[in-house]
Amino acid sequence: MPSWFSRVFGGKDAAPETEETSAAGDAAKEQSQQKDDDQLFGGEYITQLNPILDDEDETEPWDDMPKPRPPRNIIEPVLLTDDAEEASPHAGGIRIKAEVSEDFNSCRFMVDRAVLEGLSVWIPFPHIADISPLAQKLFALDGVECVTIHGANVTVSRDPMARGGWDDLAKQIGQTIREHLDAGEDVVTPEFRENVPPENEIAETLQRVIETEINPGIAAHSGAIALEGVKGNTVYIRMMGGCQGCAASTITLKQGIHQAFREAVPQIGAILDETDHAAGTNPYYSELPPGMSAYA
Amino acid sequence: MPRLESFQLKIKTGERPLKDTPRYSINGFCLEFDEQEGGADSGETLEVTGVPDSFPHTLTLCGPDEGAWDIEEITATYYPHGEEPYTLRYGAVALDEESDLNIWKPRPRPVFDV
Repeated sequence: MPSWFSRVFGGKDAAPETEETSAAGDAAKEQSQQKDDDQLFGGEYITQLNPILDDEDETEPWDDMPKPRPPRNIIEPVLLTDDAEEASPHAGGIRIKAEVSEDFNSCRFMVDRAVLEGLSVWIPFPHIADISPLAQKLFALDGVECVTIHGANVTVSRDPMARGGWDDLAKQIGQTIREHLDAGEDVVTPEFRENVPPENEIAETLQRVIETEINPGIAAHSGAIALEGVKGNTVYIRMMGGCQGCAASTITLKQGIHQAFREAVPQIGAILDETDHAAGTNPYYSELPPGMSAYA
Repeated sequence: MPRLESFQLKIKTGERPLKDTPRYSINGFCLEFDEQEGGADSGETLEVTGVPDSFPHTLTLCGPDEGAWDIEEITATYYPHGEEPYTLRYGAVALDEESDLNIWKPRPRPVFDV
């Protein structure tokens, strides 16, 4: 019977202790307890069965595997592009380039000049497009579902169930933007400009939302959000901790943070993630917690 | 994210050479390259190949353990599993004992005139 069993439950092996017997039997008891524990939990008994574990130098089979190295600052390189650029098909006019997103649901149109200066606008439904004459024209095109205008970029989302490429729709959107800018019409109405709150007011409200709603929610994932700044009504944020580099950060950003921000300040336009998800000293997956092996 | 079978770097060294063995780090684990040609002295071009055959959450070129390493230009060719390889070029950068260079970029999305 193991010694711990005797101590806990009593029995024939557990002799009643007196002062004399306890002093004399301490060493024997400890030895007996060690033997019983070894039999239960490993030690000599296990090493007899598995001689690999009975290694005097106590090396483990995984000792030769590479260990995670301490994190360093990760520098983001400058990406070089070919200098020779193809001639624009609209020589002398406004040049617009289109870039389709990875999921094919949206397309960014990069115009060679500012489309909307000082502000940005996010229009998720056609019935609120009256704040932007340009967005109204874009919503008139078949398949357009959401329009964001920021600086020299116009981003258009289409029905996620739509099939086929963007070629035809992208050409129509490009032509609409070009004609609108050539005509010199307003991109947003003067009323929209007047209704945008001051930058400091937007920043204070969003900071309160971050501290009371967002960060407590994502703290369980060791993540955090910081407000980098507000320019006009464009919001710049940075994701930190476990959010940085996380594959789910886009979902967190769009379904959680965007919604909370827009409910607090409906007039905000683009929300831009300034996080470099590959850089920093603690991006997601770059470092394991102390004591945790990558091969565990 | 595709599995990265292998990648090749052509690194042109600038003024300050690399005195250590060139290494790369994938997901925080520092490894030596599987193949290596050329040199990393000033003005030389070093050609190295890494075969991680894994999913790179982070992929970096390790800075030297001591001193600094001036890089003029890097041409990186990536060989993802089941996809066509693609090549990117990175500009000048200086690495030291406290810095690594991010060399993981997904395939650039095509851009077209409209």
